[in-house]
Amino acid sequence: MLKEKFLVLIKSSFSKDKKDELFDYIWKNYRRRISFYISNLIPSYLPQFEDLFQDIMLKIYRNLNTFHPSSSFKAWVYSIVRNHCLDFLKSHAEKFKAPLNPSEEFAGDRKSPERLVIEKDIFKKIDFVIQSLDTQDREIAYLRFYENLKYREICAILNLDMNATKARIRLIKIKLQKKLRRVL
Amino acid sequence: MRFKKQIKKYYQSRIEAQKIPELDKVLQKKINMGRVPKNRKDLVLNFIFHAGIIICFVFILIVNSNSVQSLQKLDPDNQKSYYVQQKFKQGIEKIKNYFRPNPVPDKKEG
Repeated sequence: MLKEKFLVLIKSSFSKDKKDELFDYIWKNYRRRISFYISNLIPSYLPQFEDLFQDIMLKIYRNLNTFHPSSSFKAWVYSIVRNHCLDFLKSHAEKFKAPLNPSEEFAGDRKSPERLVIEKDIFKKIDFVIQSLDTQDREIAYLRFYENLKYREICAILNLDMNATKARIRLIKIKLQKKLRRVL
Repeated sequence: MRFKKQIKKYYQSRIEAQKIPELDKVLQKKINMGRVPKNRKDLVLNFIFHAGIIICFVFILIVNSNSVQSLQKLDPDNQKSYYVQQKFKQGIEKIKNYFRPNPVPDKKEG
């Protein structure tokens, strides 16, 4: 329902109220994903992380009227996030040479304790593989496996060649499957 | 299939565990001030408008200072300007009197 409303809004002309409504929708539905995507590029423990997140949200808000409805909204959002992060990294190049720390945090939900333990174990293994990938491969994995973006959309976001992207996705998949063969 | 599901679940749990900063008050303010023109076209128009105002202001200042100087040359002891001022006041009074209703004649006098 919300998605339909969002599509209607985005296809209609932009007034201030509509823009606010749209941004409200993005804030509710995309803020976590955006924050997670940023954390793939820039460590979330850094003090600048919050400012960067706010700047990106502001940039998205300001550029809402530049979005073309015929293109993918997710791809548009992630392009903005990525470009902003890359600009930030360029201007703070020396500070971010250290690799990202693997995350131990996973959200728990209403599952049996055994199931939770098994799942946590699986997640840790997936996390180990994901964190062992380089930054761009991590982005590719997220965009492909979670956001289900098409190859051409991933290529557009990352400025990559189609064949290279396909090959990298295949490699990531093989790596993950190897690691998870025993647990799955 | 199960592999894909698990990867999705993994990402979902990571995203849910992600600590989200609250919407910054400054950002909220900026959003509320979203009416400020951001396009280059708007900025150019804005610039032209303000530049026009500044030019007009400077022009008035220059012209005004010139006219004051020339008046001082013509009327150094302010005699002429005082005469003009008096004439002007008289003219205004005449106009006022013209529009003033006629005084009602006193009945006692009759």
